[in-house]
Amino acid sequence: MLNNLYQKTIIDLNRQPHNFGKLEGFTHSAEQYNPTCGDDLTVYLKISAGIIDDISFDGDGCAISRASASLMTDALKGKKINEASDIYKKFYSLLDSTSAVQQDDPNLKNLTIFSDIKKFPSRITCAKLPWEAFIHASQNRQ
Amino acid sequence: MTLKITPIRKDFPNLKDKIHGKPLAYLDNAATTLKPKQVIDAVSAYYSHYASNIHRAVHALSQKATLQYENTREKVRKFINAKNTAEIIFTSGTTESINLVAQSYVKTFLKANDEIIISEMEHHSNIVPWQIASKETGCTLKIIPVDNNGEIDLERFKELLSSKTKLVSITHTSNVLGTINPVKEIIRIAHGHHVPVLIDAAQAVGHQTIDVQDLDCDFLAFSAHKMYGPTGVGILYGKQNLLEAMAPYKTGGDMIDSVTFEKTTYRELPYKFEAGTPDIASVIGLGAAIDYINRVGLNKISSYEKTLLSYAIKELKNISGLQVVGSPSKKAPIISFVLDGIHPHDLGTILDEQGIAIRTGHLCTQPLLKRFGVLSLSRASLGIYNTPKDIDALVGGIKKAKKVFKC
Repeated sequence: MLNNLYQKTIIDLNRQPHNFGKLEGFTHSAEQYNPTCGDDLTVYLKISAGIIDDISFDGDGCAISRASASLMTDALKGKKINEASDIYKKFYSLLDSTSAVQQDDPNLKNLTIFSDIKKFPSRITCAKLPWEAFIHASQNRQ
Repeated sequence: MTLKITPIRKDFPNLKDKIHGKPLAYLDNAATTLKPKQVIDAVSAYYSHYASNIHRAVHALSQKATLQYENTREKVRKFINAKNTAEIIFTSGTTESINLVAQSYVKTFLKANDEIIISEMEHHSNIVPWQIASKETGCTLKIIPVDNNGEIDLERFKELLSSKTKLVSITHTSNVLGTINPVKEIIRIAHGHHVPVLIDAAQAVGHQTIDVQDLDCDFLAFSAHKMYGPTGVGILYGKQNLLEAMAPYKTGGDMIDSVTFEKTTYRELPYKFEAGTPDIASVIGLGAAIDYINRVGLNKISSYEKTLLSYAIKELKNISGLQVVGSPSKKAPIISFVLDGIHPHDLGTILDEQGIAIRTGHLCTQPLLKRFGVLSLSRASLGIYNTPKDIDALVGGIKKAKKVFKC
């Protein structure tokens, strides 16, 4: 069961996260804090004409939240805001719902590696943390 | 180690359970302890055979419940060596005990520009009530700093004390660092300035002997569930003259003497502070927990836990990349640590899979973690049923986590 959660991808992304660091010339950003564990991530966006031209994150978090943030930035870069919002909804239903989610949805890409997190209820908030930051950032122009 | 662990372990039904198919190594005792069958049986006996309200009816069930409830008050009095049972108030936990003093004492006697002193190592429950009471009265909160070893800076404490100081509230034993503070000395110094002192003893009771008359503390707060008793019950000890002068905290049934629509007079101590039906079953369970601790012997518990703590620290320090936070000269069996390359939450999940329960996160002490420059910690805390095997399981579990995380 544990191996399903801490897959190679998650371990590797924890060590070498994608799109990590403050984004030069960002237009939007938001910090999200998890008061139960102290994880604290900030998501930066560069949005023009409704398209996410670039996205990054920084801060302190566990392997789950860092890997989730990495894959989120991969999945959202170059997407329109409304497409991003669709991916957000699909990812959340992957985490929350008991119903089958289309795991081969190309938009979800590697995000499906989090499908086993349901077995670790206390860790779902870790996977969601960067997405909460993204949602707030998208509404939070600098 | 003169403590006979095998019969003790048999008393705790939880220890027979398998967690994710593994034997349980329960190392989260600072959050709450497991309960022995003697406590569970006492709670169950009340619900099975004499469930009824206290201090009210004339029937046999109520009389038995009242007797057991009040017997526990006497057991608590003896356990902490209070002068009399009027000084023992049952609350819902340490948090409520502190809130009671914050509301009934601070608001009654404090005014704008007065000062309350707490320390940098307090649990949120010994910070927030004072913050709120200070705001409402216009008082100022002063903070005693903690040094790199995790000890209170006594010299700074002396400097903070002044004619403006009206209360000192400090933890007996840190829930993060395990520091056992020199509370007797702190109380002596504060009393030199005629300042009363509240001691948060949540992490001390059940591990060390607490004697309120020897300490000369003015208030002492602790919880039943951290000393092998049920959740939902705490104790506030207060010196009788202080409690008598304080206004009631909650009001309603059982705490009144007479009620008319024009005027209410309150009952004598301790009932003045116990409005409504309390958690009778849990109070009775607390009585059984005190009996249990007394039967095992607090001195034996203290020395056993000390030996186990030394072993745990030695073993943990052998793990590369692991740093124990704080190294106070007097330490309770609580070890908080950080591990290079592994976030506490990930460690907690990996250990859980192996049946090892520890606490991870900010441990309800965000200012202290900030002081040590960390956002979260892993904490192993010991109790009377832990053995070197549990420590070995923890060390093995951490090594496995390092393998998973390739560090």
